[in-house]
Amino acid sequence: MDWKWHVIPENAGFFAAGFQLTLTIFAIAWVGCWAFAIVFGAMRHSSRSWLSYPAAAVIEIIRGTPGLMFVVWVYFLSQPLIGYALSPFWAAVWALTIHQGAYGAEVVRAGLSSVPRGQLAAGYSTGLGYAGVMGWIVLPQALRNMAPAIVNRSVALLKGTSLAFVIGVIEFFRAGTIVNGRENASFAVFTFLAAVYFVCCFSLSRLGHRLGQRPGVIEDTTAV
Amino acid sequence: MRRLALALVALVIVLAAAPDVRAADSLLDKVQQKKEMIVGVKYDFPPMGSINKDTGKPEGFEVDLANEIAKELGVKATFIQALSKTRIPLIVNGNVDLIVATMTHKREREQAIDFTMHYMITGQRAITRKDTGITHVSQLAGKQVASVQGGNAGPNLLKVQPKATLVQFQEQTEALLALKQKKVDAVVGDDVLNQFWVKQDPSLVLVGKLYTIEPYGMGVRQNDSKWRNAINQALMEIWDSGRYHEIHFKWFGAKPDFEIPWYPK
Amino acid sequence: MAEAVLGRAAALVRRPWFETPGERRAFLLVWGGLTALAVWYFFFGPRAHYDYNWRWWVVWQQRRFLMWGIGTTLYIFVWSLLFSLALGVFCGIGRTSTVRGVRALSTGYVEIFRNIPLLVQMWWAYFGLQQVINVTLNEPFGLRILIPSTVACILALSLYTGAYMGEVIRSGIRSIPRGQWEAATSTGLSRAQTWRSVVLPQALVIVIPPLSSEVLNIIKNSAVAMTIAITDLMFYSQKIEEETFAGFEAYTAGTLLFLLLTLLTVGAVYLLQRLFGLKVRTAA
Repeated sequence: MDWKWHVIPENAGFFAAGFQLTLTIFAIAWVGCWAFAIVFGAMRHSSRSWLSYPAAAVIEIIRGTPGLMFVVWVYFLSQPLIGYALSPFWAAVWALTIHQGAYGAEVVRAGLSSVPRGQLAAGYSTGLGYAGVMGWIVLPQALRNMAPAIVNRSVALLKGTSLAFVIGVIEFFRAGTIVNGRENASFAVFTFLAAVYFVCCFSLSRLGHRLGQRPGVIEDTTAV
Repeated sequence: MRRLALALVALVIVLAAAPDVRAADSLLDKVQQKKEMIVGVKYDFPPMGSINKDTGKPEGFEVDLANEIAKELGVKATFIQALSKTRIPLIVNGNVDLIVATMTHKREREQAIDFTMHYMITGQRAITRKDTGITHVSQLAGKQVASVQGGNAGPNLLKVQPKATLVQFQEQTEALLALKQKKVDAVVGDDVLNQFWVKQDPSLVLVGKLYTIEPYGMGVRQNDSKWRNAINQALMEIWDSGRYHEIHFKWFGAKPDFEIPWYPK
Repeated sequence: MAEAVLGRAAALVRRPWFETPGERRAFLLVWGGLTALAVWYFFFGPRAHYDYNWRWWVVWQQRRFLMWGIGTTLYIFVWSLLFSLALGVFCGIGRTSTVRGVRALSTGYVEIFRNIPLLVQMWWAYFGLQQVINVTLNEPFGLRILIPSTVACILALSLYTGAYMGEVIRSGIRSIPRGQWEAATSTGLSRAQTWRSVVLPQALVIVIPPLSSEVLNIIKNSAVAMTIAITDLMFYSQKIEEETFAGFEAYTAGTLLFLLLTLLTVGAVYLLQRLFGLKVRTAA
């Protein structure tokens, strides 16, 4: 029974290049995703309805769209929408940023709400300004509560990078399908892909597990 | 609040003063200015366009042809992947300057893009495993046939054999994989690829004759005659100088059995 | 019920929008500024020179494709829902089991299937598993067991979502006070009866909000099935695009239909809760 495991080491360089691109997409999208999440999460959390309702609308619409659809949508429609054509790489990055950012916004909102209101009042009463209250009192607690959810979202982002394959980005998954197309070793290739993704995501989620062993923690159970 | 207002006003002023990003009058000017031509080729379609196993770079008949055209124009060619379904959007959106990706020149496609002259003429045919015993398209009735979504191989087959069931994948390699795994009984596609696969894998066999004619044209942006003429003239130079024949021989092992629609100076 | 919704909407509109005059100014500045920016961008800026003729009517012409797509998506959704719920319940019970082997198995299942992208799982189920079957069963014995793409899709989607549901249900089970267990045992109920009549009903009701968002995820994740030749809504959106070259309209229609499906599911969950006389819990 030939399982063709030799295909993996033979194409190691190609797999490595794809993996590197996956990590690049992940890194850039992670930064953008949380920037988006902070802005929209804060808006959503705000007690001013003219901030929170539009933010809620945007978040819910983006969350209700499949990730794959969003990637394809952004790629094909960047030109009619914003007059500028995005390359597949940047379309994938932007799509992942915005899509996961909407989920992240919910996490940020939950984090901000997890800090009891009394703390804000107490902070103001000691003479701290808005920035002081946010920086010294609210954010540290909120971040600690959000940490496991942030890690969960990051794992989802890493898994989401595989969706970029549909528009032709040669990241790790597509590298696998290209090799598989040549060699017809589906079992070996896809098991290898699964193993690598598992190792990366599992280590990341172990980190989240360690951070989540405290009360007041927000469980983010929504998936990709 | 005042700071926010000032910031917004500054932003509006900066954006208003920004240079107008107007599309170049012709792609030819833009390409010669940047000394670079972005070409979309297939990565899953040997021998026309595929990824070299060792270098990870695209190679193939179309890749070489595009490189020759770039040399004629005095620029460098950069390649990005074009899938059957992204070929036309890539041109329409301006992501690429030229598409050389086994694209058949069809009248309905002229709604969206313009085509250069034909650089190759082939046809479509079905390919199957030896053990299915299928020798003619009529035997595909009721069978599962794989094709690529976005290409016209599937619809063309249905015109010839309406009783076949189409299984549409996103890429040619997946269709072939499904054939080898016995999930489908045939794959339809352009014959250049079929011949390549049959040569590579003796357990595959061609089915009957070609049932369509597929003239391949390169795709360019609509209403850009200057650019289209430049490509056409480059193609003719390549044909005249014999380089076309060399490239064709390199990838197909034979001289071309057609003539490109050449015209004098 | 309609009056309640309308009443809430009316209250929304009537209630004072701004607490201070400064807030009204801020609102006008921010949203007025953004609108002005958008107007400038689309009519005078870089976007203005791109002529795109909007053809929304072609989507209506091709609506039969969208109908077929929704049909396939719903088919996948129903089967995956059934299997993933079942898997989730078993997994949730398994993870709280006192038997170490059962706990390890469930934890392993959850960790593996939550940390591999769904795309990889689906392709593995369709191509990888097929090769396994070919090599071990088909070739040696001359069989022809084929995995159709819908089976592979439902298998992968169920395993993937089942892992997430298992986690959610586990947290629900753990939130049931121990006192209930002891009370159940003291009234003579066996373990199985306790599970069936006391713990699970309460646990499942408690976790309806996160569970319903997992259900919504099934619909959204099923879009990936297009890559293994399943003609679902995503596939047909693409098909409309290739037939009519009206990309924006086709994909917007597809996106709106996915949103509609999610809304309908949320509505269904709400109705089910009312039907069973449960206190309505809104999804996260």
